Amino acid sequence: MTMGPAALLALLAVAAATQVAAASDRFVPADPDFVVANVRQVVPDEELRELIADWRSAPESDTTNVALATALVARARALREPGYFGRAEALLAPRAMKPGASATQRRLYAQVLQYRHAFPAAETLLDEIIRESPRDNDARVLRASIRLVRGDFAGARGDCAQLAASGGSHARIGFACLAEALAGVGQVDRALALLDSTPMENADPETRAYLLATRAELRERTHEIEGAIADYRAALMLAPRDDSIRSALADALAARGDTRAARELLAIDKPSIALLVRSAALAEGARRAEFAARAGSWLALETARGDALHFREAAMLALVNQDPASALAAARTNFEVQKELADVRVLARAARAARDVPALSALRQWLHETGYRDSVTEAILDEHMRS
Amino acid sequence: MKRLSAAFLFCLLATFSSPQPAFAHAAGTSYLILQLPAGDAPVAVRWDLSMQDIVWTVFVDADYDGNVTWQEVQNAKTALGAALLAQISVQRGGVPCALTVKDFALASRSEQNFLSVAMQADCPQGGLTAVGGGLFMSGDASQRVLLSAVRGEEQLTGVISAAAPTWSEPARASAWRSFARFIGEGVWHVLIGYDHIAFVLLLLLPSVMRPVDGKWRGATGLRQVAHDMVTIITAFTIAHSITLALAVTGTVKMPIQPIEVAIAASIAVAGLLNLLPRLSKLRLPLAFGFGLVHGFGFANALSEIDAAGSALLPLLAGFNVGVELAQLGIVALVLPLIYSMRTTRWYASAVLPLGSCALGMAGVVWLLQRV
Repeated sequence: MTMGPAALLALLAVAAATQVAAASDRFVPADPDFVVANVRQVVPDEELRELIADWRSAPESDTTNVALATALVARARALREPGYFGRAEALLAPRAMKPGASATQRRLYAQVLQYRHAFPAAETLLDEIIRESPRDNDARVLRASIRLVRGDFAGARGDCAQLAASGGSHARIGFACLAEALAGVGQVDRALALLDSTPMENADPETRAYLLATRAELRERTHEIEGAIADYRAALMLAPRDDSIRSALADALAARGDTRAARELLAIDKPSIALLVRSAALAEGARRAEFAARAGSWLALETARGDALHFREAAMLALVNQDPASALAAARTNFEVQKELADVRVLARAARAARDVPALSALRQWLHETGYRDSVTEAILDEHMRS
Repeated sequence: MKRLSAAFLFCLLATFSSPQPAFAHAAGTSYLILQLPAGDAPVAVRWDLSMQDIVWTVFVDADYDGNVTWQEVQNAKTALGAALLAQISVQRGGVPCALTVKDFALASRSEQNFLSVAMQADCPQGGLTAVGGGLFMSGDASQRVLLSAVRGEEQLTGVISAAAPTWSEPARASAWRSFARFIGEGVWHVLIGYDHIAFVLLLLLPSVMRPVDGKWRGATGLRQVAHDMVTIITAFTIAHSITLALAVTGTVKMPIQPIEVAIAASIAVAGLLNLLPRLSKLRLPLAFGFGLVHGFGFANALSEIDAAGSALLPLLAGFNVGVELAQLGIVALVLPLIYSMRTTRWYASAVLPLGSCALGMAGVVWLLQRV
């Protein structure tokens, strides 16, 4: 009668569907000026309206499709509105897989697939593009990022090296990506040296933010917490809307014991699920319960919808809710899909909380086989060995 | 195209720095709530939609200030009604129903106000219901419609997406078919539930023995063995049937983890008890007590099975019968063997104690894993 991760997640799905689909009370506002919704971010702006008009006048044209899809994907990220990704997918899905689809259409579709965490499908599409055109650096950037997320550091290394050697705007991205790939196989010192020698001065703000955030993560993994915090702060100044950098900085501040600063950093308008679960972890009393409830409803909705995007956050929330079995089930499922620093750490924490010896041993084995180094994860595993 | 290239490169870079885009909310979701009546009475349909998803199709924000007010919704009612009716279709028995909008209100979901539209579907005939249409999904592949339908005492749920654009009401399975299906589920559950098999084996091992002067001795005849076996297994069965029924009907709710821990503990205790013939009188009350715990375990297993369309009584009865058949199967396999060995010296001195120890230790290991 023991339940494995799949069974636990199936139970969660049933519970979520029942909870989410239930009716909520209807009401009719007495005040006619009652604001039903703010739609500023989702109403197409002038540029987007022009692109939609262009596309409607020539819906089969590669140019109008690419222009509109690019604009939609850019808005999805800049405005943090997932609906734009859905619209880009609706536009690209019928065309990108057809013979004769342009490389740009397929690259854009690969981005959409990546967003949906359909990593193998995205990688297959990018393999095809790179086979046709080995110098397609944009496709290499995408494939390298997917391989890094999946923990395929050897695979990413080839793409990163090609990018680093390509010169131009892709070179710096290539160096940072190469550093990530090297760090993934245990060569953290070499990775840091590579990043230190990469010139940042003339890079655009997004590239500098990426370089700084990469160095910050490596410093964090090697116990250099003050340097990591300084780099994360600098990166966040350059990319203030990047929640992954904000989350990483909050984690680093919390690890240093600066809980208050971490909480303040997370207190932004319309936080993402990544920020919400961290707020729940750092809050106390009623605030913790409130954050946990908000994050729980978000995840329940995703589960009911059949999405599978946020197992990492589901594991973090289960730890907040002191449910180690669910935390471990979610962390394991997440680790099958992605292996970034936060994924490694949440798996270690969940396995420790669940006192699951096979899970801790499997993680230790993975670290050993890949050469991956992280001071926090290693401390958790060492603590378990001692006990 | 320069701006386009810059935007594309920004997006590419974003895939590195933020491979998992951090959105301010989950993707677009609307909610359909149906009341499915018997016969050809009208179907009550309630559709809760996010304003953010509607504004791409219907112009509502008349003053362009970015805020949609209740007055603006009122002013756009005609356009909204027409647009909504164009996006949904309801059929019963394969025949389209005529949909009309009854009223507009709001509903609070996921910290947002949703437009809640009450509709009525007048259907020429009864039969199974199907819901489809555009449902505002054609322009947004991430849109989902979460559907819940009430059919008598049953609660049905479904998800409509661009990939699965129609929801079809599952046929109400005949009581006999549900019963038969869940017999299989019950048998299967016991066969894959190693801890349940371990517990049944621990009940079986001493059933061919009798305690004499603090030691196990082989039972004298089949009648004595059968009496012991029937009593113990019946107590266990009655107990787990009670708690299974209580849990499945929602009368009693128990968290999963303590139940899993208690099941592991029951195996450890049963193993220990088999080593102490003087305490053999406790076997009956313990079989009943632990049967209550195992029933909750069965309920957890049952909740993982898709039971859409099955009425509760045949489902419960079938699952229980399946569990009993599987238990009887184990008895039929093991009993002849241990009955034939009961009078040998090594059954009392090796098979019973070592078997009980091994199974009991397995219970201890599971217990430690589950605490």
